[in-house]
Amino acid sequence: MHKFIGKILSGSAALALLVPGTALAGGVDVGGYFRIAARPDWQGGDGKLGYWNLYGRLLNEGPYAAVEMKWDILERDPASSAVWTSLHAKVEGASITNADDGNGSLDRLRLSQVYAKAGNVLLQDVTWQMGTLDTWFGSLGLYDMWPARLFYETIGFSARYQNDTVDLLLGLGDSGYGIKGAEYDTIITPGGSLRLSPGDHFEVGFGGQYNHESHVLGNRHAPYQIPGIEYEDYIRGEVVETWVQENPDRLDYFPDPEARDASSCKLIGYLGFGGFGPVRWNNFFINYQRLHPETYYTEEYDGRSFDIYVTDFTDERFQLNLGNELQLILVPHHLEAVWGVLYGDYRDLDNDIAPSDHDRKFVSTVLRLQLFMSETVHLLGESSVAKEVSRNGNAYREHWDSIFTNTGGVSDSRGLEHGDSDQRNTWQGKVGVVLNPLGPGIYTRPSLRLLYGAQYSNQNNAFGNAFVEDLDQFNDFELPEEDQHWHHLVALETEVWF
Amino acid sequence: MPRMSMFLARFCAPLCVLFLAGCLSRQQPVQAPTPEPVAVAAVLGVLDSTAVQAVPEPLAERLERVLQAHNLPARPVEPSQYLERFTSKRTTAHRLSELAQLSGDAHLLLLVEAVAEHYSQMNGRYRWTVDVDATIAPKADLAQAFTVSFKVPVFLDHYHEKELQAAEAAGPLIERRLGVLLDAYLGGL
Repeated sequence: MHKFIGKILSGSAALALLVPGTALAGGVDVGGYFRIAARPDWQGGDGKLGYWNLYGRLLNEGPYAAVEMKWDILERDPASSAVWTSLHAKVEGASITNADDGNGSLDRLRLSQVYAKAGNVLLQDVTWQMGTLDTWFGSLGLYDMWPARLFYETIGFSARYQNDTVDLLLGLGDSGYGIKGAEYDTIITPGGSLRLSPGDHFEVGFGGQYNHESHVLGNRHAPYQIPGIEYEDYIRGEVVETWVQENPDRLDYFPDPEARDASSCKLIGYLGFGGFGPVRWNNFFINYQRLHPETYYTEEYDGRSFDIYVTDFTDERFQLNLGNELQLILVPHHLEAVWGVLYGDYRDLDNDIAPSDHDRKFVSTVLRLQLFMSETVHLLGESSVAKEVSRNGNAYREHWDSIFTNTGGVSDSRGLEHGDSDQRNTWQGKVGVVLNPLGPGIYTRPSLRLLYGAQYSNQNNAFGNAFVEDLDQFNDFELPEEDQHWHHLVALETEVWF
Repeated sequence: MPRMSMFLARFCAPLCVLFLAGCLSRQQPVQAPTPEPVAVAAVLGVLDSTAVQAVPEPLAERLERVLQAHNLPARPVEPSQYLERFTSKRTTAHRLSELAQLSGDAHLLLLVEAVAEHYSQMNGRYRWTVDVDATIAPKADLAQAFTVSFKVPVFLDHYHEKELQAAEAAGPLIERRLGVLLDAYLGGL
């Protein structure tokens, strides 16, 4: 035995050269996320099973890449309350070479977050943040949605006080570029959130933000409204044409825009509980928001461009979103489940005539089961049912020839509807094998998956495709004269967090 | 019945292959020639404080398992015996000295010191980084201690999951790195 210990003693020094350490003092750390898939589609689709995440994110999302750098400028000393500061920068986007139509082009990526954080400055347990302020209470993993999210468009500063039971965030910034982009105008955004965690099994939180855009006379990007125009003309893009018809030879006297103030807001709520019985955790999120009005669009008439300011036509768009996700451990180390429910109610009080994404309701439920056949080989099964209803008439085409028809099967080239149904009902089922190198867990990553998915929808060709869309194309391309409500897809994909 | 056989052949056989693939035998770790007890102490630092806490039980079990795989039976020291001491003894060298006093008949010491720090909210999840210093040393000569340091990125699903859950989630990679350390340590002897 002493001989063995003696060997240990002599071998230690040499070993120090063999196994490198990776700890970085004040260094750079990199984290991120990738998902990429090969999904050949023999039905003319673009590699997604359905249109969007309402049917579950699995097989309905494209590739994605995100890399976030964190530089500890003043590294946090674990054993003291000394000042610390770090810089974060995140690049992300939905394109990867050979996996989508962007082919990994850099113009599909963006520097989505840059912020500096500092702690133990002036106030104990307070973290100051300057830069982008995007934050959320949690996510619906099955849908890849974050209903309780604040400051997504905001750049500014925030202060977050945290202890074991209280998480209080106050922020103030400008959302002008985030909301309006190239048509920037200052949008002051105050807001905050409070999360209470009275124990290990229960959490509750709420918060909100308010966006205010003041009128600035002379600023073309400030909120305005062209007076005396009709909503239907705005929808058709015929505001100038109609005005000229009603005011012949007076094009030079097209009305000047009138200044407005614009505002929007978002309220969020969160309830979480779990850690008992088979319930690992349950997240419930709610948001209610009034969307920020649009500024203007451009119409061409008689060789001239007219900016049509539409603040009054777009300032009453409301959204209610509710989502719940329940994680269950049905058989420890063998079988887990996640069950999600999502409901949305969107209303546009300015619009009573045309179907729109701002005037609809939807409800969906998704159930995923994962059976751990071994430490690393799992079986996955998922199913979803969803219903989408348009509030303003038909929005979906149920049949291959509905391109020629409208309400009641009657062709109406001036109709504002587009389709022969005001509802879309969708079922999806997905099964496959998952390889998880890091072991069991329904959200353990990395995951390598071989999946098969099927979808049934009352909508014809209810998936992204390049089929003919208008009569000119119909005359050029042969279109199968039958409905296609089923869609099948095979996917080989991987998802990694690092 | 033939149809059933065909179904089984076509669909169940590939699944069985996959299942067996998950059971492929792994390369045996390097083992000590004789069972050599190792005194183990594993702590998780508390940020902005000198206090430490015991690592979560699943991580402690992983440490014992990887030691056992190397023919190094673990002798876990009861955390209550060292947590208070480690609050004031904050360097690895000092903690090794404390551990040596609590190690009983073990000739080897394993000290795992981890600190979990929140990194950022990222794509709907909470990314944490777990910094780990794993030190193995012969009790007879602590100057020969060898430390390997590494970071483990961890993604947690929920806000209420904090340092303990991060340390637990880092378990598979800590186990892997500790296994490499022990392989090299024993293989070089």
